[in-house]
Amino acid sequence: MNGLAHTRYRNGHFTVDGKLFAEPTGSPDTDLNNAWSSLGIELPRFPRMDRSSKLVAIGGSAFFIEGGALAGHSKDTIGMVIMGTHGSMDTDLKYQTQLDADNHAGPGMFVYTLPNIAMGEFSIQHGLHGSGLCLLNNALDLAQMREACEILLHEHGMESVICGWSDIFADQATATFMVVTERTLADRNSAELEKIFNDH
Amino acid sequence: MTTEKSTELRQELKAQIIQHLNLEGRTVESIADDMPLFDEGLGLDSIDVLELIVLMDKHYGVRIADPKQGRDVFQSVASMAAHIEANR
Repeated sequence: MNGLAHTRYRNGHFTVDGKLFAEPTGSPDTDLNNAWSSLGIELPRFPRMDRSSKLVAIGGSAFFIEGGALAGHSKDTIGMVIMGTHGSMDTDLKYQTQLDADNHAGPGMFVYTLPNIAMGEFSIQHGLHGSGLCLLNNALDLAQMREACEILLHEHGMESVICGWSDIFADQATATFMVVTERTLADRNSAELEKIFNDH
Repeated sequence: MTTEKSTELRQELKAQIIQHLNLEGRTVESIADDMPLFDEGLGLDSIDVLELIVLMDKHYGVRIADPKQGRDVFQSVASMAAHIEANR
């Protein structure tokens, strides 16, 4: 544990600050549901959210539970920077499949066919009013993520930023989220941040 | 007065709402006819309304032409059933 609040989902293991929060089952869908139950947060919409939104909800919500890094913080000054490769592709394909089969697809699925919806859903869920950036990249680009966080912190008046990598497609899902502030970014170089992302 | 046919329709609607909206942990028996669909009732939201509009159109051939009408129609299962019975 390196002092920076973080959550991670790798190979079915969901951890909060390095501590295992939910056991892997071999199925990302079951893992997501189990991890959400472990957090104990009431959200009737959760079962109806797409998998990308669920992943962000789980990774980010851990910071808001009692004792979490952002519990009690002003909702107006919490920003978000989420990076991933597939964006909403997982849901886009399901939507297209349903459309091809039935000549109709549900609006409840349609609303998730944008990469930034997961962030929007999360912001609504927690009442966040801060600025956010959704970035699509082939691979994790920490320099770009750091730059985006600094923009939100320095130019948009954010006091803290939930930043991270979130990617889910077919049966592969990985996520790492952390909370950064001006101070934590100044105290840590990119290699230290990279360690959090890459440590399994 | 509730007829046997409208009771059947209400039960059918409850089952469809649970299935279409993926209401985990909900059963037909746990939804009262006059339970509010939103907020303190079933806890549905605006996205769910879109699903309900599609459900009514697809399964019963009933459309909501005026958005203002939706407020009355989607108050409860009973109001949905009444609208279907009156319009199909």
